[in-house]
Amino acid sequence: MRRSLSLCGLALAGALAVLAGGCSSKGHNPALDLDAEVPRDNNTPLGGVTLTQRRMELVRAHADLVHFMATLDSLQLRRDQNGQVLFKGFVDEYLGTHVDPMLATEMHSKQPELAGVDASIRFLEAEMLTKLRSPARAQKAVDELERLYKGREDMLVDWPIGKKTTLKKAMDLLEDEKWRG
Amino acid sequence: MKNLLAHLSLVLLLLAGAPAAAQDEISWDQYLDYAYVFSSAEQPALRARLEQYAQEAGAPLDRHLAQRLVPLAKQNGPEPEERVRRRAIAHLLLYLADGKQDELDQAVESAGTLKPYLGRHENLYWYHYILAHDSLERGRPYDFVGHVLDLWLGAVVPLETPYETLKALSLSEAPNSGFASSLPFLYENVARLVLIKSQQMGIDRGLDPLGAVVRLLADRRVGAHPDVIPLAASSKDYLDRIVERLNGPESDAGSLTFTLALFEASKLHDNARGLLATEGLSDETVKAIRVTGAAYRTAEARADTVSGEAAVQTRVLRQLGEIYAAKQRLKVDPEIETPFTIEDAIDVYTRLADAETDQSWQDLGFQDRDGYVVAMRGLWEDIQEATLNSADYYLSRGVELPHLADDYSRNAARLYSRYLTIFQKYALTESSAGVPDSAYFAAHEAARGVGDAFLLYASHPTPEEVDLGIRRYRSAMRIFPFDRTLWSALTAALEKQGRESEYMALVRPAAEAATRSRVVNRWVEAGEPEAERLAALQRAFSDSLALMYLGFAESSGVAELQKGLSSLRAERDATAQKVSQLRRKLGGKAEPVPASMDADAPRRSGAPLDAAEMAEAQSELTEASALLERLDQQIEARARTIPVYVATLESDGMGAEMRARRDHPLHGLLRRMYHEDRSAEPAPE
Repeated sequence: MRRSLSLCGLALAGALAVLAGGCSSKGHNPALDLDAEVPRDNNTPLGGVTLTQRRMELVRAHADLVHFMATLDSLQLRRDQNGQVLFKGFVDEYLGTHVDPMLATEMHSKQPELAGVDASIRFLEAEMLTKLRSPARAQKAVDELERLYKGREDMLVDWPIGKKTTLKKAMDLLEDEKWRG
Repeated sequence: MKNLLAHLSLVLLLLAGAPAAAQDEISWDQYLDYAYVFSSAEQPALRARLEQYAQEAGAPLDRHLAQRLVPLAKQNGPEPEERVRRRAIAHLLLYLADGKQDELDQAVESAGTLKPYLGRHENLYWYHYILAHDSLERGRPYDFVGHVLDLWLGAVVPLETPYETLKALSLSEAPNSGFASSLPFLYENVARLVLIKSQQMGIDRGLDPLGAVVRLLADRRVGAHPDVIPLAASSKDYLDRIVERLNGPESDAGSLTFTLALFEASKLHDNARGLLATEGLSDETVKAIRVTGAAYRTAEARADTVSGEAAVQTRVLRQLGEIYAAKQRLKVDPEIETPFTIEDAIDVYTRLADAETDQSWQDLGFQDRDGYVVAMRGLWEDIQEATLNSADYYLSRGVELPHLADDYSRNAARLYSRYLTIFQKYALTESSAGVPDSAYFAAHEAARGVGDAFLLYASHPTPEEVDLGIRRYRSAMRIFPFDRTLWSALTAALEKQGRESEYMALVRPAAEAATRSRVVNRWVEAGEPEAERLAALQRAFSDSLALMYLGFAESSGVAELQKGLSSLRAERDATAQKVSQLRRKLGGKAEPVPASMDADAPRRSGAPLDAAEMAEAQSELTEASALLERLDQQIEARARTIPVYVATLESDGMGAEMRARRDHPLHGLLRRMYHEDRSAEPAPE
């Protein structure tokens, strides 16, 4: 799997964000301060169109992960080793370059419109990482879930696929799956 | 495809409108920059398109390439990426239009030169698109899959959000929207590359990781932008059908390779079916059937699960049934080799059914139980259809070749018996999930078929075969008593064996079971489909005289029966008149016996009868009265029964209707009747 940094895409996305009245960066320009730490929450959607847009992105990412899971299950069921190698690389990169940057914010968990889908994606990601034999990353996703949604164990999530469960129950199921996986 | 190109050219003109107007001329560079719009057109259409553009641009593409896009000498410094990209695209288009391998090689070489510029989505898209074609040409599925996945990650995913933003702002077709506006075309091109091009290039393995991309494409991507690519011009329908198969009961646990292989085989099957309909079993049709068989064999080889095998077997049996039906209909018997048999399908069905016992159906590749049940029932139905068609074919061959009638009849009987064996093995309860409702009528047909084979078609059946044939007729009656023709078929068979006197004893159990049946009674009372016809038959089954008519009246016909009744009535009238005359005669006083018994002497008119005449008249009266009484009884019986019998004629065709429709509502009734009957007494043999 060949990776390529999509500079052009980032530039375009930046331009579009401006067009859409999206993310605003307050304070100094971090690109000029080479010693500054990258803020943890650097992709916070604020509201209005941007919030709607972010929700669409999350919903699409969730749907994509559901499709990936179906394919991964299929490859594993049929013990297609070559296929698994290719597909694991693809999913790994998709998570790393697309999903993880999108989830690198606490704001989703604080927005009622986004929290459910954000948590569902995190569960899916954790499940997928378990199946991809990346236990450390899976655990990191679980830790993030626990941290972000502490005290909201009754919240409903779309996980396992096709079902709605409470966050607590989903967490228990995921724990089981992790050990089985 | 023609429509697609027409639409695409329109879109292209719209997209290209601004720069063309500004420069007041059209150059190949503009067409090459928008090549994602038309590059996945089919070869003849693409060739025509390039010729048209050549006229508009004033030079053919290859000349433009040679004059304007050749690689620059190193001393001239780095070559602009647009130039490299256009050169790569131009070579690719020439390869796609004319199939020249060297053009593809040059496209790959130019794409390689693009490597330093892959940060730009457009370059990355073309780079992987070209290399994906190269992988197809070289028959390397692993590389092909890798390039498509990279293309998706590097060019499609990053453009999705910008495209939506532009679209939300109605800017997706703005001249400066850049490559983001190409997204609907990229979806379309990837779909065609994976689903169509890969199959055209004979890639029949290793595509499974692309199942994810295909599912993504079907999920509100391809066909989701009708303002850019009209639905009719997009591959949405095709894609949806593939995804439906990928996720449905005909899937091999979600394998795209298998789904595409089976889909290709199905297309060949459709072609063979079309030829069969138009040309009969011509050489070309036979060749198409053979090609289809090979394609199904490939699909079967790609199946890793029983689910996939069942999908192949179901379709193969359909073709087998079509072949036998055509042979029978067309009365020709060309040698057609098919790599599959009904036994193979029964073996797959057995494995499916065994999984029901231990609930291990999920291990067979099914995604849910519904899919498992649908697959089982589908396979069963095709086993039954192929069996009945092939057995029918053997029976018809026996008629055409009487000297081989015994052999063909026994072949047919063996097929029917095999079906009855699996029927008895799996139709154990009314709720047997893997047995469709139509299986019961098919069992009736198979049981009757055994009877027909030995009693109607065979020239010299053995006594054991005759006995088996009669027993199977009885079984057929128990399963479906509402086929009137079966009753007369039984009498014909019995008559042939000189056993017609056994008729009533043989049919009475079936008649009584149908009359007593609670499920039939409820069906009739509720006015369910065919209730009136069933009620008429039930009335006949409850009348022993009507049963006799059902068995024996078939040859004489209703008109003959009515005529017989009229004759009987005329005879009764004559007899009644005679009785009346005799009574009047006997009403007079008796004369003494004359001296001489002159028989020739004229009777004295009005004179009372003598004692001898009285005795004779009395005897006649007694006989006539008895006859009258018998005639009255006969008339009463016939007048009552004939309408009951005639009413059963209305049921004619019910069997044919059920044979033609697997979803006929009576199939469900038959299922319930069968199990009601089994629970009441041991199953008929």
